[in-house]
Amino acid sequence: MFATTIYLDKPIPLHRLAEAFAAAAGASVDRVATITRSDFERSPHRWFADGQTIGLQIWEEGGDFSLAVELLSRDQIAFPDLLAGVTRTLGATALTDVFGVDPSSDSAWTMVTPDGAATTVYTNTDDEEPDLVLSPESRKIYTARRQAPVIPGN
Amino acid sequence: MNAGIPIQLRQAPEVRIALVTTRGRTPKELEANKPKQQILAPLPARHALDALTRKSRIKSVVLPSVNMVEDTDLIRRGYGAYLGNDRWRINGRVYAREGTPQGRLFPERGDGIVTLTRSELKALITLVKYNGSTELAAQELWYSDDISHQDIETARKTCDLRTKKP
Repeated sequence: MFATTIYLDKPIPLHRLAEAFAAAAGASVDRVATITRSDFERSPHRWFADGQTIGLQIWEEGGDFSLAVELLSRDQIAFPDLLAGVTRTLGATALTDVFGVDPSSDSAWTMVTPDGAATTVYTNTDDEEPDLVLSPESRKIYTARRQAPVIPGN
Repeated sequence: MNAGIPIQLRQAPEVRIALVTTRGRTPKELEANKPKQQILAPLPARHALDALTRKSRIKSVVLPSVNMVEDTDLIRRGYGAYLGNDRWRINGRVYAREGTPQGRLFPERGDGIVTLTRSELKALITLVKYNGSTELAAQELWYSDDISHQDIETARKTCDLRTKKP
């Protein structure tokens, strides 16, 4: 079981997320299980139905990356490629801590932009509220990367 | 007159005492262990076990007995052992400096620091949310495919170390 949580910089409907993850994984959308965290907490149940291999649970937070997406995959996946595909399809930027400069750090993240580029960024640690807010230096990188052209199929 | 020799004998012990600090560090060692850049203490609201919330994204929690402000002050003054790669050991704990200009430290491992995997943290947050191993917590954890019995056991032991319970 592969499990991680990624954070996206804009709100995206659950069905569009499912389509993007399915496309990036080369699977049909009916193999993706989806649920909101509030629904899960209200009525906990198994994520996966028969035949489903990817599970997505979402919830909203504050900060720059306000859509949290918990990803569970029953199959082995090439996560960096999957994430690059998802961000490209959605035109969104994601933060992940799966691969990065310091796995034990609380503020170091890998930012994956719609052009598929991965860059190390840092979130602010000076606020007691743990929302993901980029540090001033990383915000400059984010802004610059967001303006980079997206090459179709790249 | 032999005044020169007794004076040297009397001065030698005083010089030796002056070089030794309360933690066994010479001034040279203190200087070598001092951070070369600014460091800030970890925010207790982010790392303290008693302050854990649903939004916590930390990799380690700190037990109530740990004084991270005091540890940071000692590191700042050179009493920590510099381990390289922006990491220091003090009082049996290792702190690392975030890669930002602010230089906030985060507790990495050691006495009073519980390092958690993603699944263990998720289980711990669930237990804290339901104030321990309640029926509701068990139900939610049961349906979390990414959390193992071992994760729950580790989380339960850590959860029991809280001092502030509703």
